[in-house]
Amino acid sequence: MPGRSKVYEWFNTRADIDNILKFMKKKTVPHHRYSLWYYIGGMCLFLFIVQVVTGILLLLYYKPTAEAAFESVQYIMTEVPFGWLIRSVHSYAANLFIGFVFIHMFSVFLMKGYRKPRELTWVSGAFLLFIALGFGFSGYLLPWNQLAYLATNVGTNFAVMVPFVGEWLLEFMRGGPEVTGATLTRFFGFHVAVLPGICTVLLAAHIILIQRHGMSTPVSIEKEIETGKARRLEIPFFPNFLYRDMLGWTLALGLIILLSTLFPWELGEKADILKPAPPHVRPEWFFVFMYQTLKYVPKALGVFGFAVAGIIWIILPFMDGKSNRGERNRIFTIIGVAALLYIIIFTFIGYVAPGE
Amino acid sequence: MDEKIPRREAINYLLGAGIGALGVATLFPVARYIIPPEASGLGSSSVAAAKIGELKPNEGKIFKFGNAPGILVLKPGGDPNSASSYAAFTAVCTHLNCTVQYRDDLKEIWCACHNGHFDLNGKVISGPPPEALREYRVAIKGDEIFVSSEEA
Amino acid sequence: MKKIKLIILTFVAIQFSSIEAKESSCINCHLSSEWVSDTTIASVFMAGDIHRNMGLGCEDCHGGDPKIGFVEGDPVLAMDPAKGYKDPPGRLGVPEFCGGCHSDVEYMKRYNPRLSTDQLKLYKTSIHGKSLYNRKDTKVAICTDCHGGHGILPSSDSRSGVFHANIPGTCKKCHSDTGYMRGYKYEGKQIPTDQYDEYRESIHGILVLEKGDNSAPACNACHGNHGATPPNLASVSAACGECHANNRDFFNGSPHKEAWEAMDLPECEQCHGNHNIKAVTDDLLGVSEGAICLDCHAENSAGYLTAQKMSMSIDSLKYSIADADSIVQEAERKGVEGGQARFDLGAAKDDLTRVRSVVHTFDHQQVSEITTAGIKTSGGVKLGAEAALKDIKIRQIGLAVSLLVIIFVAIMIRLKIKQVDSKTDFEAWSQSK
Repeated sequence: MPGRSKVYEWFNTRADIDNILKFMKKKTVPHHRYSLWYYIGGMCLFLFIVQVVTGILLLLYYKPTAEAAFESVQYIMTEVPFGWLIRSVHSYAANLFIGFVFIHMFSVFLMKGYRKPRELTWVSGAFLLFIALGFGFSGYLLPWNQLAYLATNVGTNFAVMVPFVGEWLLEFMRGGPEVTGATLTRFFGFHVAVLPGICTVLLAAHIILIQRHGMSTPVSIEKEIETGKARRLEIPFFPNFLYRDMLGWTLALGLIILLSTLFPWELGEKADILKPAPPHVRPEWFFVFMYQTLKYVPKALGVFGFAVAGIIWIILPFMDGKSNRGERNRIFTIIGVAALLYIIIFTFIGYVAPGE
Repeated sequence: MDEKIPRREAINYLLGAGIGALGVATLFPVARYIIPPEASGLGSSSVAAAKIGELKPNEGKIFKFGNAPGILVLKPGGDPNSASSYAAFTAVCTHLNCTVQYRDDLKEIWCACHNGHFDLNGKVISGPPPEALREYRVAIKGDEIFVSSEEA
Repeated sequence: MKKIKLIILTFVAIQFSSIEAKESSCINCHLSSEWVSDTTIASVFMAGDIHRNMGLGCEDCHGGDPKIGFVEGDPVLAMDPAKGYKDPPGRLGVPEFCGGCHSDVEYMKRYNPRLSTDQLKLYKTSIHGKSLYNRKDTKVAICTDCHGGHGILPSSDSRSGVFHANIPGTCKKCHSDTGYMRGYKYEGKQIPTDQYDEYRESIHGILVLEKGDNSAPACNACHGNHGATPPNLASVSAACGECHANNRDFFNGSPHKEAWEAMDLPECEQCHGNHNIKAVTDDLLGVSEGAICLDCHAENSAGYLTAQKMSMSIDSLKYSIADADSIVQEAERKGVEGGQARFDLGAAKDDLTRVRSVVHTFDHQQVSEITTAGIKTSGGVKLGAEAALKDIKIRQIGLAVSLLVIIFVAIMIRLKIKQVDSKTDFEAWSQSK
């Protein structure tokens, strides 16, 4: 082709860039009344990148020991220029990230975006959700403040409910029988090495699969198109869709720095292992619905139930035969709405009337 | 159609400029963040308390250690170049948290608030302090005397 | 049969001892309920009495001969007055009995050169000793009441009745017993029995009894131990001044010193009490309700005005520090560096602590010099923290600028979307699928 630089050609002969560009130019996204939900995944990706960048920056000063962790975060917050901003952005973006991951998951679920041939995309996404929760759980402890210490104590305690390997799992997570500095160091390792490693692989698979399949159109829209009630409308990914994505990212960035500047993320007081636990210790908000449930049912049963629910959630696409055949499946819609309502209601109760 | 071309170019130009400005606004804090603040050992485990020659034998100095004062003493007759001639302690009196000082006439560390006396091992000689002053480790690096809160 | 038993008992006795046990027929018999009705005397002695650990045996106090083998009738031989055996001394004789060795400088040097040898002499000056010898009153405390008789532990042993933290409990055994103390008078008045209860609630009592702080005073710090007496007024202050040295010196230079001497008032005690000394608060000073100064100083007298001024000076320093502290905290919450401010504020807090001692000069001039300095320091800290909070303003400006840029970019993207959409042939794209 004319006008191409020698550098481009050099790379093109080795990496077949032409083909990638051709693919990009041809890539489209369906456009219909539910299209808004297509932007959520991109938002998750953006927030994840914010987490990676701010996380690496925090690593420059953070010290993962019981003696120094709190002080080092305090140092970041008060002495390092813009340290307050970096840490607050990391904290706010983390919470937004988890929130958007949940929204992403439920929107995909309700639009049956997991149906054939996208089952693996769903499975990788489900695992990514667990990884995200793991990030949240491990990261929460790292500033080594009292609230995080207590929440981690309660949270890791549920590990003993796992049959056969409970005790082992507990010690594996805590690095000993109790939550101590050893736990902190371990969680640090999970948070900055183990989880990012797994996450990168899963995320790559997730994104590549999405590129291979394109966005899924909901069954209802497909039906409407089939019956002629609606017309198939596609918009080019590049640049029309990408610009829309960018608009969302820009606004999210604005929100995060607004929150971070006006309400810098508080550090609390340093963890004191000897202090008695205050009543109503609560885990991070995204665990509250599970925590609250375990107050009403026998703990072992509850933990078992969540484990089963988690596994079912992963293999869901393989159970929804109707959707896979392109038919509407109201039962699965009801299940999804019920799960969503359950999470919302129990989270709400956990904050309003936590009980004992 | 003729008008649209300049408008399109204007949008491109403004968008590019906006993204550029956003990039600067993002990179500026990051660039500042990466360079650590001066005059502070990372965190509070060690600090440069004085320079060699700053203290004469039988002289003490209060230095900032984290958010609390520390006291560095060059013992009477001590060699300013040898770490073992120095003693460093927290300068927070164990009685009611006043800042202690070095008394060259007594060769002791002394708290003015309630007349507490400590020897150069931090031990209480007299007065109300219930406990000894916590001792810090002293090391010399180049021409600076470093004090560390780690166990000696 | 009996012999075998005795051999076993001897064996047991040897087992008791960590140090080399002396072969002693006293112990062998006194550990055996076949020979004596009460075996505790020997067993507590063997269990760790300081004298035993020093290598002394029964005979070193009681005389007699411990080394005779066992045959019928030997107890008589062992406890033969001809061999120096002395009958137990009885309460009246105990002090001299112990003093026989403990007052002997040469003898005591061999065992513990640092131990004083004046206990008996002191005891004779004490109210206990005087009652014992002058009135033959054997209800008063003698050596064994505090130290024990046969299981005597050194005062450094936390199980000992004379271990620092145990002293109040030891004195209390008699002094809190109303029945026991009935009839005992001091200066014509019945001696009260509530000292322990008061002491237990006092700052010193809490430190000694609850926190095990051996640097805080127990009964003996003020009353003495072997020479225990109700201290006279001057000696109480001397005892307080041992630790509260600055307060003593300030007081001694104050106008109260002479005035109170003339009125025969106690010094520290007058304001702070004795057994029930509480942790002091700033409310003791001044002219508001609860202030002690009002006990003597009538309204608008010179003393009243000084008290008022001193109290106001201290209050303004306190407010000034609290004010600066809250601004520093606010700044830190918002992520502004507050370390230097905290460090500087430490100097003002020093001044506050110091001035609480200097009030014992009862001189407003000296008090206000310190409070003025402290207020100046905390005022400076406050200004600094406020300046730091302005840094927050700068942040907000930075935020505003960034948000403007972001909104601008968002609008531009929106326009761009419109623009690219208008140029896109969606039909063609949709058909391509």
